[in-house]
Amino acid sequence: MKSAVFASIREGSGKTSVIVGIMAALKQNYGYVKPIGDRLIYKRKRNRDYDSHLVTDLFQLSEEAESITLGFDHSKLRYMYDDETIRKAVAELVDKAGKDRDGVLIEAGKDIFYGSSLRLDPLSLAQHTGSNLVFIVSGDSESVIDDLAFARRNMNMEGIPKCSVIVNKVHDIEEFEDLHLRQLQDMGYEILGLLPYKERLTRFTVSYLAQRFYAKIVAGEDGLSNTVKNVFVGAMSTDEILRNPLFNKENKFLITSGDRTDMILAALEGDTSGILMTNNILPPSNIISRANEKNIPLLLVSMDTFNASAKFGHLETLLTKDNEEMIRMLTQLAEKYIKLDHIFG
Amino acid sequence: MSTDYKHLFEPRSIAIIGASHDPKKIGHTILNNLIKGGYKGNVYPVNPSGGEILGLKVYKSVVDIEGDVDVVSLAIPAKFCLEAVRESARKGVKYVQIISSGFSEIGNDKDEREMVRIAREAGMRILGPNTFGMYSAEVSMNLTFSATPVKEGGVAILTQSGALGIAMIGRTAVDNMGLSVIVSTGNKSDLEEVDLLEYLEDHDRTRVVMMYIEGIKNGERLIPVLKRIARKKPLIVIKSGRSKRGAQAAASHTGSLAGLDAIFDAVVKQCGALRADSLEEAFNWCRFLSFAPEPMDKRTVIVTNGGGIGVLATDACEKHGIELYDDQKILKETFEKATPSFGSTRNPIDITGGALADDYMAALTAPADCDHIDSTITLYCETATFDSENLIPMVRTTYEKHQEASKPVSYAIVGGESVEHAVNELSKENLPVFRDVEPAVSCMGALYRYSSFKNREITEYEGADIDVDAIERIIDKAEAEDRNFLLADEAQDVMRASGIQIPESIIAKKLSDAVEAAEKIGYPVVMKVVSRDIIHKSDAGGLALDLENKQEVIDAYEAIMNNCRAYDPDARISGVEVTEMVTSGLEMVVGAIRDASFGPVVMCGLGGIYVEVMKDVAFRSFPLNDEEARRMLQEIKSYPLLLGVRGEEKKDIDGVIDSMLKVGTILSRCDRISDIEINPIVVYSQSKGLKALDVRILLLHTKEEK
Repeated sequence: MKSAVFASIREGSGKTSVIVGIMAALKQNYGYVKPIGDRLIYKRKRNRDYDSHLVTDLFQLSEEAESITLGFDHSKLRYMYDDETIRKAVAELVDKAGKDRDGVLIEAGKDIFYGSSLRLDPLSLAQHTGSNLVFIVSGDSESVIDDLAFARRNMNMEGIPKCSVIVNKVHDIEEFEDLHLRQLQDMGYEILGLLPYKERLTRFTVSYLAQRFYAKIVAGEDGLSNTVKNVFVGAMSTDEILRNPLFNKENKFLITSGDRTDMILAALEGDTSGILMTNNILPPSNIISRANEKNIPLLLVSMDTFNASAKFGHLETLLTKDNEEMIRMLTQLAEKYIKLDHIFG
Repeated sequence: MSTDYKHLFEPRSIAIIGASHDPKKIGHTILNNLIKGGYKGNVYPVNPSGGEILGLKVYKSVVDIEGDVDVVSLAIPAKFCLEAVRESARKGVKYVQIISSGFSEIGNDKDEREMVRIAREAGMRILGPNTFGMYSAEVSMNLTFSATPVKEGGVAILTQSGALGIAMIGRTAVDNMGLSVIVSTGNKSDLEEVDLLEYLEDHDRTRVVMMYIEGIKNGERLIPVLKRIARKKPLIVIKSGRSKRGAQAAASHTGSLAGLDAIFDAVVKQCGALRADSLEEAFNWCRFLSFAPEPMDKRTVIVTNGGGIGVLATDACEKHGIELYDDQKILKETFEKATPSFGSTRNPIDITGGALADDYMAALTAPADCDHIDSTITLYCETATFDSENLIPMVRTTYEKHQEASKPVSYAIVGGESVEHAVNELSKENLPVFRDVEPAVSCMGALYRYSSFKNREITEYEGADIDVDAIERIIDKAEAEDRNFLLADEAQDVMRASGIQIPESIIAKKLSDAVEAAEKIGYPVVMKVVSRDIIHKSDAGGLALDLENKQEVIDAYEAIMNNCRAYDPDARISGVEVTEMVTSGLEMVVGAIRDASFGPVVMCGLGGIYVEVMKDVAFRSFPLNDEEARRMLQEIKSYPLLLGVRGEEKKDIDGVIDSMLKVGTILSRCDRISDIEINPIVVYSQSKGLKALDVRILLLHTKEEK
């Protein structure tokens, strides 16, 4: 059975997005597992990984998201497995996912070290399952080269059939090819592709923000798939806001206290993707009705505006099922820039 | 300090400092009222100019008086009062009544405090300042500057308002209502209502006590006295204003619900006093209760000549808690002869618009004679056919018959000139005749409430069995950490120390412990993060409900840890709390607060998140016994829910009462606690008990408060 472990050396390289693009581009029947989860969703008293849930849902895989991830918390995994049983559990997971399929994509944890103590790090996963290892890397080119050089020199790749690389979010492909490609090939990596940076892929949807903020959706549920391009923290007078050019930018997401009805109303009349109302203050019913009319989601949270803004600053872009434009773009990128037939070969 | 109030109410000698020749001056009016009122003791006018006033020798100073002086009345400008009090103290006076104003009521607390200090040192007591004086029928002492002579009688009035007091004297004279005592308490610098009540408690002449109160200084001392008096004679209270405590924004529901004068109202009720809404109502009650015999039982009949007025009276009876007798057989036997065939012997008894005075006579003699009827409310609508000249004699005769039978009766007579004349005439004789249905019924309701309290068996409550030492240790810990509230687990420990059931819970430091805890408690369970840095557990994803098996516990533990680390990577997480999952039941609230005036006050009512919207709560001062706690529960509108509705089982009412008594005991024995609130306390059927889900305990904020 064909299988490959997709790993990143540092967190946030865009691993799941690339996997989604590849799976869509392969146009064949592939399975997917993510043995160690890192983005936990607790729903209906079960834990599922965000990425597992996205992929199973997006590609309509028969497996439940809960069943393709062994766990998240190390203490839980240690409570349930020892070294031997965890190896067996991973093998079973991959076997099940590959049954009657053309192959399996195995997504590793958030970085190259994550899960090492449990033998669930990317290298161990590749070794347990005899899979190819595909590093997905991104960032400034020096870091990319350093990371891959370090991995090649200091990590035990024994038992791994093939080690290849996809460089993601490359700002200047030609320059990267000219300056770095040869060096990577000299290290023994096969370069599966260089994916260009696309600003659109960094945008959030409102539904994703609602999830990440544990927000109550008060109104405008139909607009949850709205994309957020600009963020505005409303902490001044309405007159000032209306004069502020940032407030008048398109697809903005407003963060303000629920009692700033003046500002919320002004935002509802502009090009707004969603509004996060802080301090657990519900606006009057006329505002809720207006948001429903305009399909602009109103999200309610108990945290204050400062903490909400700080949290927003730390959010990473995650793909959502409803972001069809992004999925289409990822597919096209994979088709155009990745040597799909070399992944498993 | 003198506590023999006989010297105040029945003095053998009185000196009036500021007695004046000038009839326009208060000092003259007081002396004149005293002499004209027929006071039999020695009277000593005091004025530096000396001479003679109204035939009495005037002394230049109180110390010049040869004999003893029991009471001194000061009617001089405020600036001379301090010296007059000093002289009175030197003279060995027992009570000083200070008519003069210009003290704490305008912010001059210093002189007022100084006068009290001097008096206390000499064992002397002060009434006032800023009082209109007092009247005592026992020695015909009218030591007031009232313009109206006071009629002797059986009603005692204590009033904080001087102006209202003087108006009351005028009003009682018009109503021909005799007084045994009237005292204006003024600024209450020393003597308060509670002191004066101690005299009235065993004062035979006083049949009814009425109090007008604006604020209570020492509620905890007042409560037992009110309770004692209300078991001996009717005690009517009118109060204006709001409690200080209630006006403050309170930190707990209990505190905020205790706003306005809810606590005062509850305490008055608990003490058996009757709270009137208006002066009119209070006077009506005073007059009625002074003469009405106590009913043997609760069986009341309404006799009317009109259907409409009968319905009005029926509604009013429901409002005032009067039970209408409804044994049709007895009613028919009793009233058949007095009721025409087209009338009705169903209560209200309708003797129809054609009834004459003789028909009323027959219809009202019947209940007076019937052993099954205990009280009568008579209604009369003026009709063209009625022999108006016989209205007054009919009322007199039927009233007499009821008095002879020791049964209370009240009359509402509605109509024109002849009716107005009858009301005026009969009122002069203190007969309970009113121009409307409401006062006639309200008086009867007040009588029944008084009678019910008087005959209530009272058992003293010693307090619940709680572990005070354990609670004090918990408070010590919170204070050491400079907190004025207890953490959730500390509040639960207080519940354990008090024997109030809480859901079983175990703190688990690791996953295996959490699984073990869940297995021990039994599924379903609730799991929540334990971290001093995560206050809003659900916001942090630190809460999981209804976990029904081991796998769900494992997942929930993992989710909680993961979420909380993501929420605040620096949070100190000491484990998870595994708690029994409480099934739904009736959500009540039970609480207690320390009222600034009345001390520990217990609250109960419908709980949950809508507690402040519904405001369906009742209060009582603590201590209270089981029966009073039960009455408290019966008072809330949601009480039927405790009894079970639509086939539900009766809830654990005894458990709720037990919890109420326990929170009251905690507050009364642990004086560093200011508020306790259990909301919700989930109440199940009798066999299943109850569970205190969320407990908040606040401590007194500052050392001064303690």
